[in-house]
Amino acid sequence: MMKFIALVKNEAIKLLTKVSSKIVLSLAIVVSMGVCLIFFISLNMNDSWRWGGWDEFEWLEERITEAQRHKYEGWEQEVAMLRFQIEHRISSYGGDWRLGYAQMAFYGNWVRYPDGTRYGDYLEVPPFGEGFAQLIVERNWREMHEIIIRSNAEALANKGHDSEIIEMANWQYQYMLDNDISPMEQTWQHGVIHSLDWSRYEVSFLESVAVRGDGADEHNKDLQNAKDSAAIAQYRLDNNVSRTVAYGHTMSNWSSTDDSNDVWSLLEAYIMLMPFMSVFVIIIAGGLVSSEFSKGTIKFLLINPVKRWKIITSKYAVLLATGGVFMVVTLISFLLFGGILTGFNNMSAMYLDVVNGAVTGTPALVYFMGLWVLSGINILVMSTLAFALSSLTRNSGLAIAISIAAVIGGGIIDNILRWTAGVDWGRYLLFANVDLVSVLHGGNMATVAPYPGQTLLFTIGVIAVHMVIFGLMAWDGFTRKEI
Amino acid sequence: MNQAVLQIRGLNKHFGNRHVLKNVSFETYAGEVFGFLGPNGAGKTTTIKIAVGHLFYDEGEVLINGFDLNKNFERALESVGGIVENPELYGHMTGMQNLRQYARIRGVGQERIDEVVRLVGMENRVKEKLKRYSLGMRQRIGLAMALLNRPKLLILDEPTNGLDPAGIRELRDILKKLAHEEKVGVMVSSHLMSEMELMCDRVGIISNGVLIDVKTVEDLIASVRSPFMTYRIKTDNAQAAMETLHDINLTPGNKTVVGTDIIELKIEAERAEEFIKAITQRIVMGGYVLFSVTPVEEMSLEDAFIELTKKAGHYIEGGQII
Ligand SMILES: Nc1ncnc2c1ncn2[C@@H]1O[C@H](COP(=O)(O)OP(=O)(O)O)[C@@H](O)[C@H]1O
Ligand SMILES: [Mg+2]
Repeated sequence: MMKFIALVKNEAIKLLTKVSSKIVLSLAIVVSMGVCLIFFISLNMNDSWRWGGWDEFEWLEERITEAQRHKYEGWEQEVAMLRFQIEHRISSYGGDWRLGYAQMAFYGNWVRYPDGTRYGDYLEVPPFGEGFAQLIVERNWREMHEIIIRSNAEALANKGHDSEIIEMANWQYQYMLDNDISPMEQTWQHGVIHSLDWSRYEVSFLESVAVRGDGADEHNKDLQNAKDSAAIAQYRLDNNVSRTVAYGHTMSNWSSTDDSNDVWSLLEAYIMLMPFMSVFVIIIAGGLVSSEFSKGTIKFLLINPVKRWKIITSKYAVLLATGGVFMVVTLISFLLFGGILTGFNNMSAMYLDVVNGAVTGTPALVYFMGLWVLSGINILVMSTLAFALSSLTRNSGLAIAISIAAVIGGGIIDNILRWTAGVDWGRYLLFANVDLVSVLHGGNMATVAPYPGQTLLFTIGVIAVHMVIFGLMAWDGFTRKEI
Repeated sequence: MNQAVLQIRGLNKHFGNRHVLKNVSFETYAGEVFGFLGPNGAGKTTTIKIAVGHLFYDEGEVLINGFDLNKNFERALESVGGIVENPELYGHMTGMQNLRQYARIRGVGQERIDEVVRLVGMENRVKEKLKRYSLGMRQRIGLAMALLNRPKLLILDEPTNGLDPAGIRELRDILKKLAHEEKVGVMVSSHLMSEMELMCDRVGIISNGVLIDVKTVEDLIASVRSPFMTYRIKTDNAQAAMETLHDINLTPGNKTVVGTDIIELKIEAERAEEFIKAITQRIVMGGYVLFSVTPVEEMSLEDAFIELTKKAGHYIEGGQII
């Protein structure tokens, strides 16, 4: 055992004193920070292209002239609205809270939501008029909400329109009043309130229709999803969870809201790229055994009174430690850099999950660390491949090239098998199983999508079989061949 | 006799279908320098690599310090120090860091490291990166590494490669001292007979994978030296002078007339004095002039060694053993 510790120490020293390993590690840090910067820039780009140098209010003036010239139906209302917008600098684009209320003051006609969404032609509600507009200027949103609630209720009573929609809208206005959630600050609650309401509506709709036969499963799944969304939204409001994270969420609404301009969005994208970060560990793994042969130092190494399997095991132990250090160092530099770029906001973000109807919250850091460890398995497997090839071929170049080709080409090979060749046995290959994050959460542009019916247990089994094969390759190359 | 630290018995080794070691058996004892002598490609390195576990063998037995290499690898190698072919070390580390690598596994302390560094005369350069060393300096560090664990068996494969004459002499002295004073069994391979002559106590000669002979250095020198000496006698009339010698029987040597004034005599080395005396007396008494008697340059030790290895009758041509 003492000998084994000495071996591991030797290997660690050999690796650490090498200039090339220092370069690889520094490069990895630089790359992870560079990736962080690129994600950050793309996260913040939306605003700038939306606004790119064009004066909206000049254009609104032109629209007034147009309306006055053509005098189409409702032109007076439109002109009043545009004048109000120009006077108070209310943009139609940047999500100004006053826009929706101004439209109610001058246009009427629609059931309106605090988040600006509108549902057409359910109600014939007349414009609320100048008085209401004055309330906007005074920022008296409470008064405005009361007016809206009253008017909606009257319309409902008088004309018997779709009650669900109106009740939904009124619940939101009321909730904001009751909980003192002002529309003036674009807070996270608006989205949650709306989503809660929408989910409830979905639940009641789905419960009202009975589906039998083939569609039943799908229907039940939709119903469960709607219930879970409602539970999560309720939990967020009750527990004041301003930001939630979920893998695959930010990337799909990359341009969503200011809420997501935080380190978690960056981290989520980073975890998708983790398979490619394995390249750095592969470069180190590919040289661990073969460099001893290319330099001839293997002769002094193997004159030691130690069995060869102990030496190869000590090398592998050092590879594992290196991979761990690599992952931690790159993650910390990514988080620090990302934190500084985004100002360390939303630190209290949570991952919310519904288990048997009960919502459980996990701090975002813990949640992402779980994903990060899972994506580390990818790095573990691919660098073990490089290590095994290094031992078997005694050629670092070959070992590194094949392993990197497997990292980059794995998805392509899987695609060809699955879509071009139309065969199913790709599911037994490493490529479809190596990325546990994809297996659990679905594939993305960087990885392979899971096969239908692919279970976690199956994936772990495939990985284990490959690891055993790689281990045998490394062992055979090192202990059974002459030097 | 001292204890055998390396015992090789009936060793056979093939590379593919090429039989490179054929029934090689020999021993190295504690307290001696054993020379392993043979031309390039004879199988010296192969034998040494087998002894340190780098190559595997087909048949035979290798015991180091009494432990069978195949059955008790770690115990066997614990008492070995050695350099196989060139001493290739980690170029990105200093000499000292390289030594520490080795010391860690062998459980050797800093004190012993410093001691061997002094022994090989590297104390001034040991803090430098290895890639800046000359081959001779690497040989020295390699030797220091091989000596770290006070081995019972020290195996060096052509250790004088890259050393200057002063370095070779130093190495010779170190090895002799280790063997004779510290009772280490030293095995040194070489393709140079002259080197072996100065360094070794016993020599095993290998050629084309066959161990031809194992002898003490004295016996070896005697055996390769011809038992006959050749002398040239310069006189005024060789033909006539030769007549006077007709009844001197040099059997199994002979006498011949070479040119007009030279007689060449091949005389049994041990009786040279006796014969020369008789022959010169005859020529002078016969009335001929005796200008000079000169011994002809004998065959060099290296030539003799080459002759010896050829005598084994094994040649490798195009990979075929004839
Ligand atoms: N790895 C190998 N594969 C095939 N043949 C080899 C190998 N190593 C050595 N040989 C052959 O074995 C013979 C003995 O080589 P070696 O032991 O290196 O000779 P030397 O006495 O010069 O050290 C040579 O003919 C050599 O070509
Ligand atoms: Mg050799």
